[in-house]
Amino acid sequence: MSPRIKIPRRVINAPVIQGFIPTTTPQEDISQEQVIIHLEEYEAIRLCDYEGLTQIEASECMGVSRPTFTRIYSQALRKVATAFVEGRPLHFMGGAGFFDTDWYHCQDCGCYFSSVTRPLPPDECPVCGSQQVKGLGEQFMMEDADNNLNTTCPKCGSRGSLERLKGNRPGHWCKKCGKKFPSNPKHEKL
Amino acid sequence: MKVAIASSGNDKQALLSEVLARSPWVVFYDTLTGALEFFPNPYSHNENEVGHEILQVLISRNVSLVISRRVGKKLKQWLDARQIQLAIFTEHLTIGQVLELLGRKSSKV
Ligand SMILES: [Zn+2]
Ligand SMILES: [Zn+2]
Repeated sequence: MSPRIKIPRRVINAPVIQGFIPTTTPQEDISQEQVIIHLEEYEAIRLCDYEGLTQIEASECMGVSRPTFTRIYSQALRKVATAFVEGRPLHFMGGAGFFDTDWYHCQDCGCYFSSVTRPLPPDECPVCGSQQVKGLGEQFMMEDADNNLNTTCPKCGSRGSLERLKGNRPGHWCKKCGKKFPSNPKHEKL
Repeated sequence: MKVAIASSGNDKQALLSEVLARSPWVVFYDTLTGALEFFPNPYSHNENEVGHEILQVLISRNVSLVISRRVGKKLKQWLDARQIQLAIFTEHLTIGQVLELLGRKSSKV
C-alpha cells in the first residue's frame, strides 16, 4: 500500500453554499480571481468564531493537534481577509476533510467499497488495488428506514432509476441507461 | 494494512459471510506480514444490530478494512467515523478467493 501522508481531518458540517461573490465582480471574473477556502479551514472558522469553541476544543473536534489547528485557522483567516480586502470571490473546495463516505465500485474484483479519502475520490480499490473504480454516491447499498433498499443503478449510478422487469421475470432494469440486471444485486438485503 | 473478513467457517474454503457482527468466524489478515488468523466470533449470537463487542476487537487490532457481503447504515456510519473502510462482495466468494484478491494488491507495491 502506498503511504498516505495527508491525514484526513474530520469536517462535520459542510458549508451550506459553495462560496461568496463580491457584489461588484462581473460574472466573467469570478473564476480567475477566487480565493479557495478548503473545508477544514471553513470548519476551523465555524468552530472558533461561529460555535465559540476555544482553539483547544476545536482542535479536538477536528481530530488534529493544537499547532496544526492553529495553522489551519490562521490560514483560513488570512484567506477571508484577502477576499475582503482585495474584493475577490471566495470558493469552498476540497481539503482533506470527510463526511459520511460515498460508495465506489471496483470494476476489476467487483467489490463495492467505502472510501475514507473524501472529498477526494479513492485512487484504488482497497481489496485488489485496481484503479478501475467508479463512484456510486452516498446512499448506494444503504438500507432505508423501512428496510427496503433504495435503488441506485450499479452501472450508471442514477438514483431511483431501477424498476422491476416486465412480466414475471425476476430482476430489474435501469430506466436511465437501459441496463438489465436479471439477478438483481439489490434484490438481496445487503 | 490489517483486514477483517466475515467468514462462515474456519478454513479458506469457507464462504464470505453476510454480516461481520453475526458471522461465526472473523478472519484477520495482515497484508504486510501475510499473518492470517481465524478468530471464532464469541458474539455471533448477539441480537445487537451493530455488534459493538466485535467492533471493539477490530479497533484493538487496528483493522482498517472490513470485508463482508452486506452492511447496514448504522455500521457504515460507525466505521466511517473511525475511518475504517468497507468492502462488500455480492457474489459468494470463498475466503481463499478474497485473500487472493488482497494478494494482488500487495504484489503491486
Ligand atoms: Zn478491486
Ligand atoms: Zn443505469
